[in-house]
Amino acid sequence: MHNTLKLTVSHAPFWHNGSRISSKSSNIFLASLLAVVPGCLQYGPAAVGVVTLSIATAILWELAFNFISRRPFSIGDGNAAVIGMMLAMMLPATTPWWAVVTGTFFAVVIGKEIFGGIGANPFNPAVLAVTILMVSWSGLFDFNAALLNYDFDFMAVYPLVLSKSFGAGAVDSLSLADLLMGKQIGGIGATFGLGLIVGGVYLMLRGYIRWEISIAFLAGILVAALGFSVANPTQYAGPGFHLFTGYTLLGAFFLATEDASSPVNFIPMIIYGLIGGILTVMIRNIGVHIDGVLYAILIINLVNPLLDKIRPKAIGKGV
Amino acid sequence: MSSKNELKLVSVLAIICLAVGVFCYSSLSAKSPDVPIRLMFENLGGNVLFDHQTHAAAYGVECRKCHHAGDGTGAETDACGSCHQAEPSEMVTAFGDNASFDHDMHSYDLGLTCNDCHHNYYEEDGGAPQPCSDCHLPGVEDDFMLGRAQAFHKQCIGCHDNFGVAPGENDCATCHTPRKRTDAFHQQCIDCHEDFGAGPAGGEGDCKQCHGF
Repeated sequence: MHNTLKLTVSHAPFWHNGSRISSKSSNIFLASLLAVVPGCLQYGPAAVGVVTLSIATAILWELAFNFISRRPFSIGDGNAAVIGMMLAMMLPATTPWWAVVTGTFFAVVIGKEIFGGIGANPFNPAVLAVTILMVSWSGLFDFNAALLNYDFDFMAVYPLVLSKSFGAGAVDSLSLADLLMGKQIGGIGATFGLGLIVGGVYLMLRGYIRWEISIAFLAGILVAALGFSVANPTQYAGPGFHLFTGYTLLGAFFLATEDASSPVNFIPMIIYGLIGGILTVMIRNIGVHIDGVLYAILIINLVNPLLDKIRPKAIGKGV
Repeated sequence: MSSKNELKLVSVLAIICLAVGVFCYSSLSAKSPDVPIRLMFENLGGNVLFDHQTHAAAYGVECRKCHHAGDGTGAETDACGSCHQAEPSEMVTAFGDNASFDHDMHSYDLGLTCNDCHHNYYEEDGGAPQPCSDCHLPGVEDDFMLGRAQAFHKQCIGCHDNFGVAPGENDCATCHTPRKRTDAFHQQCIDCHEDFGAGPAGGEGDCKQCHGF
């Protein structure tokens, strides 16, 4: 006789490490500070303004949506604050206030709340928001133009523009150690590679992000960049360059690993990360865009439900 | 921590961040320096990042070297090509500010007469010359006459070699890297121009209509 008991199962993510959402958010928030604080030191009060306004307005948009939709206030889980922080990390320090406010609206309301809130968003909200800003106001993300008035002790040209426009020879003089230590222009929290790596490793060790996704993403970058570089070393920069420039490290540790939009099983996570890394380099090298990380992450977010179909067989007859 | 306390903590964070953000934007926003550090020259063919500080301080170029024209505000400057050419005595600008044409080599070394290029020759200014590609035909090259591609290459490579800066003669990929991107951008404009039969459409002499530098 059939058991008529029906179990209602929600969709992914199912991974749970036993802690509250707020502790996960606060750990991601603190880990991101390792990259954001050096960015603020480099760009000064303007960067502090972007970061704080982004966090504040992300929380306020969520609060406003909760109020309008008559749902319980959910800002206490800290997810909106994390989204605001992630968004700010990708922005140049000179981003106008209206772009920050618009960006957090896209992230929190369009990217998350209208899909049902935390856990139901198909795309990483911050990535979706920055991509909308980028498509709508491309000038905002011309880092060369945005940071004209800053005096640096290193070459103040966005490295990915150099390699895209002038080939691998133009970036030969850039030291990987300098790039890792943030001696490059870019997003407020996207250039200090050492901080991103330390923060990412901390989150992996604590189980807040899945190491499979981050490592596979970076492996995809390395393999694809190596392939291009071997095929045409004068035109395409090497894997080390792609690893430490643009949004690569931010994407690998903080963006691609977002729970709701990434897979939960081992093989899907590896495929998800690898595709993301490979697509990133392909978009950079043969696409029209300067950086490919954000578009690559949106695409792997899109295939995430399909990847989740690759799963272990459930135990039990006839299931 | 209870949900209530979490709500309080995030609310306080939002208020503090909002106050700091508004203060930074209103009172501590970065001001433009009196003397520019870098400038972005807008150009339909791709913007040009100009390192003003390096030219002024590191290279020791005096202000009036570039800012000697215009209304005295310094807003108007000479074109980059006014300095960045090989030998002013040998090279003349041709077909716009950007091209460097070796007039002496063509007239004295190769023995061309004035009317070979200036079909309507005037004593005052010589009159407009014919386009290079009237003689330098695409894909046609012999011991006396360079093909069109090589003739254009010579305009750039001569300067680069003289200044000892890359790209040089064998660094093809350095200039021709973004070929696919260039084609993509070109087609965005040219396809429409061709459809409407108006404006530059990638034909002879059309390049300078968009690529002002």
